[in-house]
Amino acid sequence: MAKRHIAALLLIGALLLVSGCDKGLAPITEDTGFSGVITFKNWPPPDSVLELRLVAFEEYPADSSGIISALLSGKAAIYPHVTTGVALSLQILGNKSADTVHYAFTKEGTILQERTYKYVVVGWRYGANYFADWAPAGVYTEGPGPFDPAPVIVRDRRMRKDVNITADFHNLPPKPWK
Amino acid sequence: MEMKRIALIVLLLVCAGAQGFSAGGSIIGKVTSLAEGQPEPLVGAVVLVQGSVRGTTTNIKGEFQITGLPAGTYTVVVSMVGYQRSTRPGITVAEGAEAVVNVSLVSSPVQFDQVVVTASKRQQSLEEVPISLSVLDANEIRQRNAMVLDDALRYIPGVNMTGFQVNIRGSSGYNRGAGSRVLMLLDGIPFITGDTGELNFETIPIGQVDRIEVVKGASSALYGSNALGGVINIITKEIPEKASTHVRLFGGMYNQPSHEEWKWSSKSRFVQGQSVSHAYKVGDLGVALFASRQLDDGYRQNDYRRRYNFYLKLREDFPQQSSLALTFGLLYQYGGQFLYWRNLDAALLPPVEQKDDNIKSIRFFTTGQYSTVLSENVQLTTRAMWFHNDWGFETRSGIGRAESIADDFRFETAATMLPHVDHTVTTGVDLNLDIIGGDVITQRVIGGFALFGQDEIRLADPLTLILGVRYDFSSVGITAPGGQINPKVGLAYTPVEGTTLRTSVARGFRVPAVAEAFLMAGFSNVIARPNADLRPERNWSAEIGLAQRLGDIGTFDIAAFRSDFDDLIEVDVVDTASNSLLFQWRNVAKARIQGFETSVKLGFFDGGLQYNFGYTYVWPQDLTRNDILRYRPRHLFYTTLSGRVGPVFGSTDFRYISRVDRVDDVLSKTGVVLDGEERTEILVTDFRLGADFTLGSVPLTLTASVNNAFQYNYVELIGNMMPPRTYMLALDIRM
Repeated sequence: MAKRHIAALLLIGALLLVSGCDKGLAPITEDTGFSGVITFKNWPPPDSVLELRLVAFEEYPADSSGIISALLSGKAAIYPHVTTGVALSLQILGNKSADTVHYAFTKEGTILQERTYKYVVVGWRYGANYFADWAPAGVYTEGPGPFDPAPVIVRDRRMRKDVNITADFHNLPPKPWK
Repeated sequence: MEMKRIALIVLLLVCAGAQGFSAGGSIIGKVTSLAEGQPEPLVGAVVLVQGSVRGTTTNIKGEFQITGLPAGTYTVVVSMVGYQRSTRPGITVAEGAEAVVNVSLVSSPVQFDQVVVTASKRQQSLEEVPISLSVLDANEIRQRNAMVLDDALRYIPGVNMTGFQVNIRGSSGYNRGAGSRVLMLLDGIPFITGDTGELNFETIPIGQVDRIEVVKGASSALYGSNALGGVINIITKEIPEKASTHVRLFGGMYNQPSHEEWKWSSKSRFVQGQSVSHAYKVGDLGVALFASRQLDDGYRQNDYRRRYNFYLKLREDFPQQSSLALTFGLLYQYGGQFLYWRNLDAALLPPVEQKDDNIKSIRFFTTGQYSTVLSENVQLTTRAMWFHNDWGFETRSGIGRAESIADDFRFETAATMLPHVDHTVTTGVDLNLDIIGGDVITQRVIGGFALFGQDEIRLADPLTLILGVRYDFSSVGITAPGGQINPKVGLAYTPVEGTTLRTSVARGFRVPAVAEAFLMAGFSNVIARPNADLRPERNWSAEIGLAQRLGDIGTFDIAAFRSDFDDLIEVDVVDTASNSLLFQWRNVAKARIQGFETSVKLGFFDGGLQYNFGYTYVWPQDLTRNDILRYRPRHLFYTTLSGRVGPVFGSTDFRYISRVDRVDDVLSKTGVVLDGEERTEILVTDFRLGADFTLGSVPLTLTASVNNAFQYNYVELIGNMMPPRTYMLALDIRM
C-alpha cells in the first residue's frame, strides 16, 4: 500500500515537473502591421466625402500629388488598398450610425512593409481629381500638440495595437504641404 | 583652514590611544568542538578580548595566544561558523603571567551570531550591528556552482540582479553598466572600476572567497561614495596553518531552447572550467595561489566567454599581532558581446549587425594591508590598492574599435580605539586617484579624499548608540569639485539575549562615474552623449528592525526601510536619429523607495536539515514623474531547503521576483530593442545533489546541479533572455 502511495506521489511530482516546464516568455507570431480605431466627428455632406483611406507615409508628402507618387514609388502604403478593398468612406457611409471603424492595416493585400512610417493619416479625397484633391482628415499623434505626427514602426510578425486616429472634419490637421 | 582642522582632529584621534606596549600578560588556550567521543581541535575559531581591539584565530591545533595584555580582568569571546558562541567572563591576567582559557564550542544548527567586519570596519558579532546585514559563506557559493560571484548574490534576501548590476532593496535599478548605487569592497577596500564606476565580479577569484557580507542601506558615513543602497564586502580566505591544495573541475551544458523558433545552433552548448589553489606557510609567511580557466560557449549566439583568473596572496605575521598581506589578482577575458536580442522570436540571436561584436578585457589589482595593534586599545589598519582596467570592444557596424583604460589608486588608514570602556571609536582617512585614458572617455585625472569617524557608545548594558560622520571631497570633473558630509545615527537594543531591536538613519551619496559624465561612445545603434553638468546624487536612508532567535532552531528578522533620493541619476534618451538612440545620464528625479523585509533561518537535526526564506516588498516611487522607478521589482521571495544525510547532501533554491513595472520603454518604442516590452515575473528553481567521499586517501566532493530546472524563460534586463535549464557537474579534490 505504501509503495502505491509513493508511486502516486512520484507520478504527481513528475507531472508537476513536466507541466511546469517551458513557461514564461514565448515567441509571438502575429500579422505584420498595425491596428486601431478611427473615430469620425462632424461629418461633412456625403457628396464631399468621395473617398477615405488610411495612408502611411515614410516621409511627409511634399504636396497633395505626393500621395499618389509616394504610393507608386512604394514610399507609402494605403489601406484598404485601392485594388483590393473598399474605401473606409464606403464602409462607414454604408452604416450611418457608425462613427468609428476598427481597422487592421497588415501586409496582406497592401504594400505595407517593415519600416518606420513617420506620418500616418486618414486621407480624404474631397474632389474628382484623383491625383490632387486629397487632404488629411486625421493624423496619428502621441502629442504634445493635437496634430503632431507620431511614427509607427512596422515590424515583422508584429501587430502594433492602439494606433487610434480621430478625424474631425471641423478641425482638420494642417496639410504638410502648401 | 577647516580641512586642516579636520585633518588635525583625525590625527589626534589616531594617536590618542597609542600608549605603547608594556610587556603585560597573555591569554592562551585551546578551542575544541564539544562532540561525541574525543574533543576535536577547531581551526580558525575567532577569539576576541571583549572591550579591547585584541583578537586572534586558532591555529591547526586549535590553540591561540593573545599577548601584551595589561594586567586586569577580561572577557573572552570565542566564535566559529557552525558553533554557538562562547563567552568567558572574569579572566584575570597578571603582569608577566599566562591565563589559560580552554573552550569547547557546541555545534549549532543555525549560526546565530556570526562575526562580521563590514558594519563598523572591525570584527563584531552580527547581533550587535544596528543595520541589516546578510552573510553568504564559501560553502554556499561553492555548492551553487557559481561561475561568477554575482550568480551567488541572487539568493540573498533583498538583493536582485539586473544584468550585472546589483540592486539592494530597490536602490539601483539599471544604469546601463555605468555607476553603481552599491559599493563593493574587496577585503575592506573599495573595488570599483575607475572609468565606468561599476562592480566587476569577474575579476574576483571566486575560489578564494571566504564569505560575502552584504550591508543593506546607506553606508556612506563609513564608506563614502556609492554606498547609497548598501555595501558588498568580499572577504578572501585566510591562509591555513596546514598546506592545502584544492582542485576543482566542472562541466555542464545548456538545455535546448524551449521553442523551435529559438533554436539557432545544432550543436550542444557547453560550459567548463578548472581551478587549482594551493596554500602553505613557511614560518610566519603564508602563501596562497589560485588559477582558474572558464570556457563558456554561451546559450546565445555571440555570447561566448573565455575567462582566465590568477590570484596570489602573501601574508607575513609579525609579533604583537601585526601582519602584512599583499595580494595580486589578474583577469584576462574575451568573448562576444550580446547587448540585446534580435526580437522575441529570435530571442537567442543578437541583431544581425551585432552578431560579430566582441569585447576583451585585461584587469588586475594589487593590494597591501598592514594591521598592527599599537596598544591594548588601539588597532591600526592601513590598506592600499591599485586596480587597473583595460577593456575594449569592437563593433562591426558601429564605431569600430574602442578602448578604455583606467587606473584606480586607493589608500586608507583606519584606527579602532577604545578610549573608554563604553566607547569604541573607528576613525581614518581615505585617498583615491583615478587616471582615465583610452578612446571612449576623454583622458582625465580625478581624485578625492575623505575623513571619517564613528563612535559606538554603550549607553547602558543592552543599549548601544552609534554616531558616525564622514567628509568626502571629490574632483570628479563635474561642474565643480565639491565636498559632502554624511552623518549617521544608529541604536541597537538587546533587552534579552536573542532579541535585538535596531534602528538607524544615515545619509548616502554617489559621485557620478566618469563614464556617466564623459562617455562618448556606443555599441551599435545605442550611443552615449557626455553630460558635464552631472551632479552627485544623494539619499537619506532609515531603517527599523528586529532580530529574534527562535529557541535553538533558528532566527527571525524583520525590518522596515525607507530611502529618499535627490538628484537621482538615470539614463535618459536625448535624441533618436537614423534608428540610433542617443542617451545621456542625467539628474532627473526625486525618488522614494520604501518597504519591508523579513527573513527566517531554521535548522533541524543538528544542522542536517536547514530551511531559509526571505521576502522583500519594495515600493519604488519616482516622485518627479509620479511613476514607478525603472527596473525595480516590488516583490522578492527567495527560499532554500538543504539537507545532509551522512556524506550525501542536497538542496533546492526557489526564487520569485515580480514583473518589474517599468523598463527602458523608449528602447522598445523607438524600435532599438524590438519586443523590449516583453517581460514576465521570474520563477526559478535550482536543484543540487552531492556527496563527500574518499578515493584512496584523497577527499573528494561531487556535486550535480540543475539550474533553472523548470526551464522558465525570463529576462532580468530588457531584451536579454536568461539561461535555460543548465546541467552542471563539479568535482572538488582536496589534498
